[in-house]
Amino acid sequence: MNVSYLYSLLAVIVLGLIAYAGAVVGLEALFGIVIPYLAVLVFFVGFVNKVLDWAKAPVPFRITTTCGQQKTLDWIKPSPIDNPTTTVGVIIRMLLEILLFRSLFRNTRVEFKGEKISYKWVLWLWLFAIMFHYSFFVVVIRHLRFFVEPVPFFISALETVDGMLQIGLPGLFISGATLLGGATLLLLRRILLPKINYISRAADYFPLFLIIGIALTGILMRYFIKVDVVKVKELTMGLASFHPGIPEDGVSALFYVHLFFVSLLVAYIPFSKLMHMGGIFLSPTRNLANNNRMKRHINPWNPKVKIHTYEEYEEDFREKMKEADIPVEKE
Amino acid sequence: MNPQTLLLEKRKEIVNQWFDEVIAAYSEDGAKFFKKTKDPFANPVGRTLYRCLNELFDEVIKTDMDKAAVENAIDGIVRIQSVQEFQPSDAIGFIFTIKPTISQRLKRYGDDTAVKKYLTALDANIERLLRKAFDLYMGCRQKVFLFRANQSRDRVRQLLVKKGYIEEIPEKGDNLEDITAKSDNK
Amino acid sequence: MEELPKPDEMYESIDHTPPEEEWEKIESPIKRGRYAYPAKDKNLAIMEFPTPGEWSPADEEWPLPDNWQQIIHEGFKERLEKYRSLKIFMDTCVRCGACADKCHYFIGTGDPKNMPVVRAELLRSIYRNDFTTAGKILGKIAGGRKLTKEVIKEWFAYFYQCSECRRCSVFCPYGIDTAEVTMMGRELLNLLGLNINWIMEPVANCFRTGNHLGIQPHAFKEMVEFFCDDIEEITGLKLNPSFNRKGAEILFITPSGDYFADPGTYTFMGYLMLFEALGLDYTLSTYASEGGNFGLFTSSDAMKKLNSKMYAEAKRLGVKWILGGECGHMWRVINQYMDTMNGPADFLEVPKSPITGTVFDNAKSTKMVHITEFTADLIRHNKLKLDPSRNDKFKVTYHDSCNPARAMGLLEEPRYVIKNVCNYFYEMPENTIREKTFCCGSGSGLNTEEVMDLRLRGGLPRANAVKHVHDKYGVNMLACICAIDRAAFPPLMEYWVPEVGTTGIHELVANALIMDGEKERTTDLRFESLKEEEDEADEG
Repeated sequence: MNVSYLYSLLAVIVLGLIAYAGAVVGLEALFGIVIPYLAVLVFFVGFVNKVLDWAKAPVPFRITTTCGQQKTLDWIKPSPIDNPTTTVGVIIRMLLEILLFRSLFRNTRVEFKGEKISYKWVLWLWLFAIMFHYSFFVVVIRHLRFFVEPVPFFISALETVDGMLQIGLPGLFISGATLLGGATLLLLRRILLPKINYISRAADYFPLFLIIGIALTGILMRYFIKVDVVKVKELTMGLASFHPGIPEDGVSALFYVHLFFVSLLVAYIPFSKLMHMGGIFLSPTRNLANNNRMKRHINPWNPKVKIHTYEEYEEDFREKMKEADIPVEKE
Repeated sequence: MNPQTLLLEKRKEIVNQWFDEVIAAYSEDGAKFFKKTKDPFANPVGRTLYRCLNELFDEVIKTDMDKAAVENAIDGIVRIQSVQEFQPSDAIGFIFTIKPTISQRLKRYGDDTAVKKYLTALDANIERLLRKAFDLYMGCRQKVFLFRANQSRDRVRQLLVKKGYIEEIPEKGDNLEDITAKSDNK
Repeated sequence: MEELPKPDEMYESIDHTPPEEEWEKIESPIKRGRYAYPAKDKNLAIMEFPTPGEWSPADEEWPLPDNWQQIIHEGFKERLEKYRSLKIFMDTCVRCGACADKCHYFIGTGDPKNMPVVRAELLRSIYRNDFTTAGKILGKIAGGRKLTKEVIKEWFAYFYQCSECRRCSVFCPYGIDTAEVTMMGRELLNLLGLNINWIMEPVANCFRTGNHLGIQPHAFKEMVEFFCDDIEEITGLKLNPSFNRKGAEILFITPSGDYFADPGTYTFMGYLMLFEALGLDYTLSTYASEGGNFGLFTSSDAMKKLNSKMYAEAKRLGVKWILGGECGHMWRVINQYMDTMNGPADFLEVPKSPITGTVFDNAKSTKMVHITEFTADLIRHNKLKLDPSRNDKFKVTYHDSCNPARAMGLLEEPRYVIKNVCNYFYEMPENTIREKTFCCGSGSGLNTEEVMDLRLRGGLPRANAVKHVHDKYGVNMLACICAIDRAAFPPLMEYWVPEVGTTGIHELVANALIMDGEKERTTDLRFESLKEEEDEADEG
């Protein structure tokens, strides 16, 4: 059994303890100001750098993976999305991929019911992934309330929807629970499913534990420990307005753990597989139209290669060709 | 008490244990995949092995095995394992594991003469399976090597034939496969 | 033939305890009898690849140059700069496992290194170690590993155990294409002169003689004439195809497998008969006598060199456009590489069927049309007299060849043609056809006899689906549009589903085709009775 998740778990716990201890011994400024700023800086520089690095590399060939009928004869119905030939088709394909995780939706399994064959979709991975990513998205949007004043209406509206279950006080946000749930399910999948366990490495567990850590500390602060939200907002607004400061009589040390985890995650993105959030936009098998035979694609470094010309070929075989009555250029 | 009925009651349990032992020969992850994926088209190895072991179980516990059914079931397994880089003894190893699995279930009744007699008959059955498996395994390997030999040979031969450099006597049996097919399965 | 290991050696080498260890720690033994033979120097030299001399993958010490690590490092760097695909595929994989059970080699072997994700990790781990900040600092923790000779051996073992079929890429949420990764891996190995002869010899032959087998021009002509004799015997009609004829309207190019080996030869006869029935103004070329392109399995430069002949010959002969035969990887090259590499083909005209007047706008830049597109159009316009009952002894299923399916989307045209020339057609299960089709197990230059075991187990998922329609509907003929399929399926079927034969689509077309002035046919193109109840499975 691959137990590399233990290392990642340990790393996250130790990091959490460091932040906690730091806040307790009065290093609030480090964990509340310096590290978040650094993290954001690292994120922007790293992210931009990585995307530029990708963009710098040319796309020499149009290598679309076609997942449907090509556009050929008028009377054959093409698949304009799974095998796009137009930019619109590509955009829809990309949107389906990015917003709905289209490819993960393709898993079908066959089942026999007696003689009859039936197909069913296997959607667990898709479901967990959708749950996880969308919850994360909503949670991030919700947190914008800490960085803007007055709070824009759409955030309040989102919160109303998110809290519509009206469980507990303060009301439970669905997204928080599903984020924790989704991340946990993805983690369990990695630990318990043998194939996935086999291919998983520390780099796969670390961000999951980190996110679970963020979700847990967040939930603790909101529902159980109940940190002083006004103080927290004072700090975050300070960060956002570039007038950082640590609020008097401090906020709970737990908040600094939460913030430290977030900082780590943000700074970690550009150097890890979390860059898939950017990479998906640039994947050449998905973001190119399969119109190769209609429109020439240019390779900027198209090399000159030594070819074996017809003349050279005829030199080699002229006599034999003549004998066989195959026309030649030079008699 | 009829030992056969007893075993039939435990059919699923026994076959599952047998299956586990057979797929333990693969890498851990391969084995789990072969076991867990139920779609026969996504997982032909696992599903075929499982189906054939079931069929074989039904035969081996009978006092009078159906020859064709036995051959069919063994063929399904051996045909797969003989192209999976197993040693010959491992490719037919699934037959060795059924005996302990079954006798373990009948241990409690070890003193019963009917059971004793039954176990002796079972031994004979298993011996027959072994012979069959060995023949089938050899048949498969022979086929693989024939494919290899034919491919090597045909690369050149077809050209020679087409160019008219060689002329074959036009009748059946000129192909290596046809000649050996006669000795196959015998 | 390779020397077989001694029994005790073999016995010692087996170990069936499941891997407790991570894949990085498991060595990839290169066992005798499971690898393809290495490329010969003469074949490498003509293509300007390094020549390592005589060696065998079973050797303990491989003939690597002293600075091999530098060569790989620089080669890797160069490719990262040249291909965005490589960079993205190295960076974005989250190891979600969606691809893990999609590879036919994994399905057939259970070897975890045959999971597409791990196959790519073989390269990715080196990438991380050498080219990423995290990998340089954290090394193993960030998933990096050092480039050692063992890594090279592992690459050789597993990049020549991938048929570049792209099935995994369909299921990947980021579209990561293992074919692309394998191609890069093989390019890197090529920098060290490590290739297999089954690929390199066709490449070299194709470069010099014009086709994979090194068939000389006069021999090519004789072979085609031989087909014409057969056709005359079957139909009573005398065909007279032309070679290297200037001024023809269409240049027809098909893989050499179609005129070299059965059952491809029947497909070739099918093309000839179709063109004759149409009175098509076309010519064959001895210089461009190969549709296939094993350069695709070698390096992009080699691919370009071989592919260049198609346009060069079309230009020299002054044809209007090019028609391409039934071949899988050939069409990946034509659809995704040819125009970019060797275009623009501004000396050709937008293809227009001289029979129906249909303009093939989908090929307006590349100017090359797939024969099933061409034939489907003919049938749609009622230009062919067909008697599908001549194929009544065949219960046909159709195998989507990987490249036309996943690098083109040619799915309906072949089906339309088959349904019009055959009365009995049955589809295999949904998750084994169209874009989810399973490879024949022998693609990307792996159709050599040395690795027959690999081919048979890799082809099992395909064969298993064929077996299903055989058992259920009595299917006895597997149709395909790929020359490698036609070479790979006969033994594959013979092993797993012996009652099923293999055919190209145009063999079926020609069987059904009623040609003006033909005599009453008593046999099909294989000289087998039309009405035979029990048809003899074709021989490999």
